[in-house]
Amino acid sequence: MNTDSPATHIATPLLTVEDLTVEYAGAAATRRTKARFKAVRGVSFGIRAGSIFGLVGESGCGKSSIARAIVQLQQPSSGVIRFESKFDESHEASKSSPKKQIQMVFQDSLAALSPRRRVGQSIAEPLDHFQIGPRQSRPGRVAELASQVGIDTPLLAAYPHQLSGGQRQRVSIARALAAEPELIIADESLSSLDGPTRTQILALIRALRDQQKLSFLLISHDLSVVRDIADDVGVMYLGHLVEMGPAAEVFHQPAHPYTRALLAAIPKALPGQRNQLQGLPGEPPSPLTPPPGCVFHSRCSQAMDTCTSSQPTTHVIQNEHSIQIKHQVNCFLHSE
Amino acid sequence: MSDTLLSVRDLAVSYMGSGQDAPAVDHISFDIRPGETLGLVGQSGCGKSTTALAILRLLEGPPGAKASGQILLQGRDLMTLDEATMNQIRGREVSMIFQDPMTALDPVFNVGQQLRQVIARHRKLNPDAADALATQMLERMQIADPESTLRAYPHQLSGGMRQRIIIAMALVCQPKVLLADEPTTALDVTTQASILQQLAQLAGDCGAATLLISHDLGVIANNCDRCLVMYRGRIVESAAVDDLLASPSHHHSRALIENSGQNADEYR
Repeated sequence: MNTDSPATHIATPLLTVEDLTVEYAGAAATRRTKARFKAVRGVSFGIRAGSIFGLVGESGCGKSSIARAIVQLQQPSSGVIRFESKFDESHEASKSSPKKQIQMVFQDSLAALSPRRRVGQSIAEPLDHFQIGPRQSRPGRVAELASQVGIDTPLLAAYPHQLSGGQRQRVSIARALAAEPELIIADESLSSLDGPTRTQILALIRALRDQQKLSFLLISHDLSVVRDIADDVGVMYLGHLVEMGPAAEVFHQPAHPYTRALLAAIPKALPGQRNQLQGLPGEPPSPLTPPPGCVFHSRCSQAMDTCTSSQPTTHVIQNEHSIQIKHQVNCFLHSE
Repeated sequence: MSDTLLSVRDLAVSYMGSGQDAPAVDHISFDIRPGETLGLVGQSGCGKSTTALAILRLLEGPPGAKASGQILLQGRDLMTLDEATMNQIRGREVSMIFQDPMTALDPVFNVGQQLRQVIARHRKLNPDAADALATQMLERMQIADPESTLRAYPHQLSGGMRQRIIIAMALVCQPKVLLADEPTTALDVTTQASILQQLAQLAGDCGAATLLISHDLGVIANNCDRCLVMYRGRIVESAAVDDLLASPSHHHSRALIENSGQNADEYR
């Protein structure tokens, strides 16, 4: 990101999420109790144009609920989601319904592609739906998109089950690109792929960012995916964003005990690693009955008395990149 | 012979398709020593899981798959045994942990029923003793409330809890060999770390040797002393894990290490 001019850093983020809360009717909810399941609690972050924002955390922490709220698959209970298109800022309509500018790539590529359509037809669908380009130019555009993601033209006639997982995920990305989006949300899109395939897809995402200035929200429970590629990163635990900042800083100087625990749990393919992994004790608490005070205190090795009773506020850690996204943490260890 | 618990000799498996057979395991041989954890690493589709299924004779015979070679458990060739004898061995002497704990557990029985079924099948224990053993196994997997977990159904538990139960079930009869096929791949890293720890602990207590199958060299580095690298049905390298990671001799092993995405030592 060093090639960016400072101006892009100060500019309004492409996507701004402010104080977002997403609730579901809990399993235990009855008409009488009206128990609500708060999946996301007051989360705020911004995605800069032409950057990759990685959102990490254990399963069930609310990552996907944020993605669903952004693409309006789920109605937020409160909060603001603002999308500032760089092309048509004047069009209020596209701001309120940025369906074309924000595309999604899902985890399970076999479920995301219609089994009865040839993959070329799936890639063409956004072109037809959004009326992009003249009809006769669309087959050529499909071939162009396919070659961009490294799918050979003959494969466009194949059905999803005939392709490998990596090829299917490329098709899903080509379909997302067909809509000419400004932001692509990749929700665990790399989780089911193994080593070499994953490396290739990561390279593709990096190229799309660098060459087309596309922005990505990359959601993953696997920090090693995000570490390799994200510019900025947010760490979630039990619906809360507990740490956020430039990826290099968060990974080099993790400030929250939870971020440190996540990093310590990544298995390293290095000599001398026998029995070096450290897990977190216990299971994540139920979001229906979150612990009082800091939500992480029940599994935190550094928990203090205050952590059990009051919630930590956001503390900004001084850093030299302060012109970019600020490195911030919600933890009493860092408050004065 | 005393140094070898399970000896796989010249094992070959091919899946019989329309037209020609596809070799999935191509004449491999390896030994597992008592009490050790042997890693088996490779990309998806390289034949890791087929190897494990072949050891337990869980592959459907012709016209499904065709297996040949020897699988010697303390000198006895499992390939020659009849199905009834094999059923005495599965779960008692050699047991297996699968990747997906949701499909490995039966959705219509609670955890206690499923654990007690394994105990009843292989061990002569009265119901009270079986219950006590089931509870004890869950405690050893560090499940906080074993009593209520025994009454729970699989869908009521998290992925990590389910896999802990699968591990308890696999080790409850104190098998000699445990085949663990990607036991933590579906889990979060924090859960993975604690489950790998508990798996090693419990297997050690039970005196079981483990074949740990994974596509993740980091997992292998954390849990194994020795490791086999598999590529397209063949074992291309067999080495001590630290030697393999420090100086891989086969180009495919090098590629695996480069693609592991975790070798950037700038992050500790």
